Amino acid sequence: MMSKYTLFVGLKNEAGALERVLGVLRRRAINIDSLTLTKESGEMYRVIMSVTDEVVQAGPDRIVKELSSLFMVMSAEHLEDS
Amino acid sequence: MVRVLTGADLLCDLLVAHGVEVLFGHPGGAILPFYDALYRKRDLRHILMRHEQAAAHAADGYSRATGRVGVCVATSGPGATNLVTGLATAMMDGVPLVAITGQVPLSVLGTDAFQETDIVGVTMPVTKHGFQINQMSDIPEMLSAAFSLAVEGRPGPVLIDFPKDIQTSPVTPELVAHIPVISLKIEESSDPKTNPTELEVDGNCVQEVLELLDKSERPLLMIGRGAVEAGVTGLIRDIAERADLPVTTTLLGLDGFQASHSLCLGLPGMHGTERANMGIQNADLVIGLGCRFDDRVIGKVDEFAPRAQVVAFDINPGMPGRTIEPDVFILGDLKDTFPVFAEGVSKKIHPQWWDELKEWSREAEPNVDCFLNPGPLGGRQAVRYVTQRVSHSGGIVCTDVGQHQMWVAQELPDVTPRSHLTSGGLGTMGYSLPAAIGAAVGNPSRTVWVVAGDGGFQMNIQELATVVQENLGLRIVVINNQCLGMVRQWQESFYERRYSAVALSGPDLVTIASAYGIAGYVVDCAENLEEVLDSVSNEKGPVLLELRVSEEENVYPIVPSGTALHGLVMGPSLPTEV
Repeated sequence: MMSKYTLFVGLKNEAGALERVLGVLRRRAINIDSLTLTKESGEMYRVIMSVTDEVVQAGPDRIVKELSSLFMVMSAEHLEDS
Repeated sequence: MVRVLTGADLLCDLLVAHGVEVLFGHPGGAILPFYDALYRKRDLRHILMRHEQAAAHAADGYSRATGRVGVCVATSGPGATNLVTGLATAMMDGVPLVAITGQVPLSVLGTDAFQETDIVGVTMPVTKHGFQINQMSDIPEMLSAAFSLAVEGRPGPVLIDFPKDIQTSPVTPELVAHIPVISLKIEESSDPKTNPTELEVDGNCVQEVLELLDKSERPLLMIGRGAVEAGVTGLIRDIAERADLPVTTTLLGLDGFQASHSLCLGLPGMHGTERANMGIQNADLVIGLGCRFDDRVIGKVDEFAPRAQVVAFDINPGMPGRTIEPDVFILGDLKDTFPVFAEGVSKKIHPQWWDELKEWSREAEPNVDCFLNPGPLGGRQAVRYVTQRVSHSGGIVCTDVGQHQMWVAQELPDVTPRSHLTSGGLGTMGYSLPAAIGAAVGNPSRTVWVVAGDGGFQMNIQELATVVQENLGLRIVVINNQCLGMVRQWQESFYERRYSAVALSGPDLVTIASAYGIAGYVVDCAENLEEVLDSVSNEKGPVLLELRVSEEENVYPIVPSGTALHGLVMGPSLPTEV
């Protein structure tokens, strides 16, 4: 199981949106190594996070699915770290 | 004097526009303007619960029993936090709810004001989403979003947090002008044909499943709550009959298929039948219909259905991989996907498979005989006679959590869909009585039964007052073994009989019932049960029946936690450690 990966999340620009995303990670004991958040045109944030997923080992596919089910998430994908 | 329309009035109007008829709630400071608006709004019925947790469970029971969105209301702070268990219960079992909470005024938000809690933050993990209204124009938009989100995809609870100052502010004329338009929009979007979010059914996957089914010699269907929610249980029965398919029903799918049907194998999983569990372990094809293959159903993950291709029809794209990874996954609402599949199913019989299945016919070995012979009353025995009354009365049964819940699941005779309500995923003690209140409010012509243990019953015992105030003719049966039976069973089996914190003493439940003005009966020996059940059935108003049973009786079969389904144990000869 890949324990380090990078998540790309498109998020509605609303209060509390990032907290929802972080909740998905926290619940599965995933630690954040780096986080970048940029406001894009329109009503969107672009979030790029490198994470370490060693405890639960949920895996990037699982996390992307869970993120995609959130109301405030417009898009979610992952890139595996080499 | 002309009354100015306020935010609270607007919310009330929009609730009506969304088809809401009943609210379950409890008032308090920060939601007072809403209750004031409600006072004038006679077409919204409010059921005053005695605890906010019960309000959430009642809205949940109302929704499960009627198929509509349940709505509950609480004030800020403690009122809102009391909802949490009810929201988590609904989240786990996929029940559509809208919860409305009062909030302190925007001007003092974040100052630790009296009865302030960040309830949107608190409820994040146990709701599909939480909205906080920050301006008047949010009200119509957020309410529409909340009602759509509650039913969209896998249903679940949505919270709307409503600051007090917006409740009291006057609505602008521009917004008022929008209200009829908003109502129209609601009607349009509720028509599934015009709903743009509807997914295309994946024809290739369906074809793949049809081919698997055609080749299969040992197929098996597993029905969950998703099938009941989608209203496809009749079609499932037709298909099962056409292709001679054995059917197992999970705890939340029990009312999706008749227990007495010759194709029914009964409950799978931890307290499931030998036939269902061995059927799963020996099948070459398991088709899950709206069930999420949770840990209590599948036993040891790596050894679940080892010989089978597993197919899952599920509405939740996040389902595959949570516990098992299905070989074929068909995403979508069963009401869209199942008819497409059903059309392709051809007639078939599986006589050899049935010969094998019929070999697995061992019954559980309870400590007490299940028929009414003279002597002390047994728990499972008592439940068998109660559930027969439920079925005969065409009733709804709401169970709590623990041994009695499993006995009801094992002994449930034929009931119609949406007639067996229980907290499956979260396992919430205290669920049954408030859920039954919701079910009874939603189905005034049907008999609603509560079956609870003495532990769970006392967790929301205050709702007896609501039952009397609303004059709901509930039949409340408490299986009283004077202890926390399921905990005791685990301590007996897996903790070398170290009974820690399980004994419950009192109170006298018949006296309690009488204090609330409810007729009370008590039975402690098997031969009296039928006669008393006659009296209980004939009571006009609410009635409580206490059934005193031994604390020694355990639930069998049991698949000990972490064991594969074929490792089920039929009676009291368990390994001491697992």
